[in-house]
Amino acid sequence: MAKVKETGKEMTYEAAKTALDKIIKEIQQEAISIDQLAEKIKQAQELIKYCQAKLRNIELEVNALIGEEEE
Amino acid sequence: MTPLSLFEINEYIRQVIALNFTEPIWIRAELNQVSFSRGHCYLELIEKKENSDEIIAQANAAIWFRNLKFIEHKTGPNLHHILQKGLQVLLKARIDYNERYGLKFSIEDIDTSFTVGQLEIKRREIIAHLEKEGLIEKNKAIPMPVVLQRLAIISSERAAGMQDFINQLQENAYDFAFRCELFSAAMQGKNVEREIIKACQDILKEKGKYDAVIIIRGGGSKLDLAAFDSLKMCTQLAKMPYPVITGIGHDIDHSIADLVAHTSLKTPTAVANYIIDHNLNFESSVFEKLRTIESFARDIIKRHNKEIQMIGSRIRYQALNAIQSKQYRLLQIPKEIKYVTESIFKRHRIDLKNANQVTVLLDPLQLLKRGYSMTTRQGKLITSVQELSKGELIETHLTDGVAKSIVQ
Repeated sequence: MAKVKETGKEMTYEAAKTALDKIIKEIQQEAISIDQLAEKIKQAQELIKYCQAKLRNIELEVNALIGEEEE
Repeated sequence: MTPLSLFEINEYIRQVIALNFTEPIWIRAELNQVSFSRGHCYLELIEKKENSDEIIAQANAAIWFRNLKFIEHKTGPNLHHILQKGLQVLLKARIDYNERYGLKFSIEDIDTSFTVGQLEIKRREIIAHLEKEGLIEKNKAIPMPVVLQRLAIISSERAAGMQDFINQLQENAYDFAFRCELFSAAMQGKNVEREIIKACQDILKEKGKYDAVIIIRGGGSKLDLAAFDSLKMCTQLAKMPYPVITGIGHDIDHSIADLVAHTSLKTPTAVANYIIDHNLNFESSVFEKLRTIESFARDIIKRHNKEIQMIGSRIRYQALNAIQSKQYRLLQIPKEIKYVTESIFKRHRIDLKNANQVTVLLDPLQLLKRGYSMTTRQGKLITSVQELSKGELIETHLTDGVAKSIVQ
């Protein structure tokens, strides 16, 4: 699973947007199985939660918000 | 002829000039040097040969304190825009000659509209130059970051609109956070060019630290705006690695800084609104993406459910079908048994009938009826004459009785 954080530095809004677009594309092309669906939605929700929080707190500590997400 | 003293000749010249220039006259000239000293302004006026740099006329001029105050009163703080080296000016001058200090034009008035026209010509030249260098489009080619949060603001703490801008950003309705860093520069007066260039250079010290460069100030007159037409400054702005957003406050005219900027807005307030809306758009767009993902996911789940239901009903249908066909078969079996037995019986009946007929045919009584007879001796059947001897008693069986005879 793609991480919500990038190694060593904050994830950019651009990267979050790209990740969301990737999920949309995968889901549209049905490149993901129904079993992965819930996981992808959770991932999308986390990305948005991250963007929302960062928009409101620019100095956001990403790790504190998202917690450790392992591959 | 008695030689004249220097004073006498100069006094004569003064009289000639005074007689010929009783009234001030309008002079068109180019400013070659401008300096201020003790409240007075000293100018060096020149005229160049057309399409050449060759100076064909030159004179010194001064705007004395009192006249300077009068002109300043008329132009406001824009005087330095008009009194700019290299500009064509239209000056109302009194021609003075002093026996000791020589010829001097004393300037009483300046036609600002003439200078504005001249500035416009100069402005067009600058635009043409920037266009040729591709600098009008250069900053616009930088993609605007999806969120504008880290802002390098070039303005003056004192500039009208600056504090409004900061307040508006900080008190936005969506609670968006911003990091504003002020790079102080004069927003009016003669230091605008130099200080804005310096601010740009300071911004460049840390790479990738900002999302955009914002230049803001409150409204000003058209001439005041001329400071933002500087070629050097606009070149610097065009080359910034961040999108430049301007809000330098003029409703009618655009400065060249506006032209080279990525996005040009009229007022600091408009810039603040733009930034807030920009971020709001981003937030809405990611929400929209989430909705798209969820809706696709719902569709997929719905379709899978449907498929499962369909598979279920197909299985049920097939099972029912199988049961029904078995039941039918079962119902058929007794019929088949009946049919088979009946046909067996039938066949047997026919066989019996046939057998009966054969027996009838072979019945000796039936043969006797048709005229055949049967000969026996002592109850035993005689089939050959060889078996017979003379005198023996034989019995001939006919259909209706037995005839006894003696063999001869």
